[in-house]
Amino acid sequence: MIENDELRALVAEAQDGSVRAFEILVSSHLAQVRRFARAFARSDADADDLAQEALVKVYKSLRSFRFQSTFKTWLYSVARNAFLDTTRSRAGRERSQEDPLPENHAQLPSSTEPADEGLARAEERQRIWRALRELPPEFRTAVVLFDVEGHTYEEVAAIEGVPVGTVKSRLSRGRVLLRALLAGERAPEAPASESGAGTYDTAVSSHVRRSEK
Amino acid sequence: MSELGEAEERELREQLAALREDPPELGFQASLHRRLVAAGAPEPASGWDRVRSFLRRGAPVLWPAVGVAAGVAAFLVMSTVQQQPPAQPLATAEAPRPLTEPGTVVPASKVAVIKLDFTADVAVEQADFQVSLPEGLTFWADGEDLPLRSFGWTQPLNEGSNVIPIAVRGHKPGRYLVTAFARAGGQTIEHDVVLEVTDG
Repeated sequence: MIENDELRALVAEAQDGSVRAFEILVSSHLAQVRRFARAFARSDADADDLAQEALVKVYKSLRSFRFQSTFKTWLYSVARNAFLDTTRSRAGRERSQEDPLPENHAQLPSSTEPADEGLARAEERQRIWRALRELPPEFRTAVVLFDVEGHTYEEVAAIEGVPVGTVKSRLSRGRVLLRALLAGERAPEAPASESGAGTYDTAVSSHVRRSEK
Repeated sequence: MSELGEAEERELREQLAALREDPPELGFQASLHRRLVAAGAPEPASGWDRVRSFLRRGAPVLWPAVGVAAGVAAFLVMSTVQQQPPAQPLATAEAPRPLTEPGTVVPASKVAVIKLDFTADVAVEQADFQVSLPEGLTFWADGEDLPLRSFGWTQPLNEGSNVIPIAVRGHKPGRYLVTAFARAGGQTIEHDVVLEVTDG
């Protein structure tokens, strides 16, 4: 864990253009960002490309980070926006295609478990990732950050820029949809207030919700 | 939730938590390094971002989602801002308006967004800006008045238009002179905007 003074020094260096300082800053978050990207990528093979694209955006935006939140929250927030931008921009040209299992990206069975069991687990994980990608982005973000990554409600709320109650609601609805998807049912359409075009924008979606109350 | 439902949810959450495994490296960091180097240094934050950041200090992040109840714009145009050679005169913008001719009228209950459009013929690496408000007007950010009369910052200018929005609020009716300075290449430009605050 990077101490606060060291963090500030690294941020300052990275803001001045030190790639090395930035790499140290994000080194403890790479696995999480890659998993997060996996939920927004078209396929597992695209996930690392998407994660790198998001991290480059984080780097380019670094001068706007002024410790108004924790670095971790800010990092995930920028990455999330990058993922949503990508999702939105490709929505119009998205072609329907089955997500192939990449040869080199699937988790290979560990040497301590039988091969059949390891492959079965890997396939099950692939199935869950595919189902996650079917969720509306807001639900997907909440489920991945909370249930997969283990962030707290407050952290997810800060990353998404919404109240904690909204996070809980998205989680609850996201899990219901996910269970339906995993059970082989087609996901029901999410309500317009949560899944419509434009709700990707944090300010717009949270504003709408406030006005509905 | 029924017991069955709870059990299903628990099982689902266990399945999701099991996804928390480190992906294989597969040259990820080397590839990321190449892309970071190719991307160049971080982009400068805008001047107004600095104002907001400087004064945010724990205030809720509301600006501009709810803070800007109404936006009106006044435009300052600076033309021919050149970094080199500095000897050329900078500005040909309109003469300052007398206080009898307000450029913008806004009710006291509203926030005025003054858009400063600094137009440069060539990119300028470093330009110094300063905006000053008279007594009776305040900068507005994060849903509240800011305790500043003047704020200065430095930022580069892109070739072409560089719009910098500044949110201000008047507390009582009257005509106010907002002054903006820009310094680049050893030259200074001063511009005035007259803002009229009305009842309402």
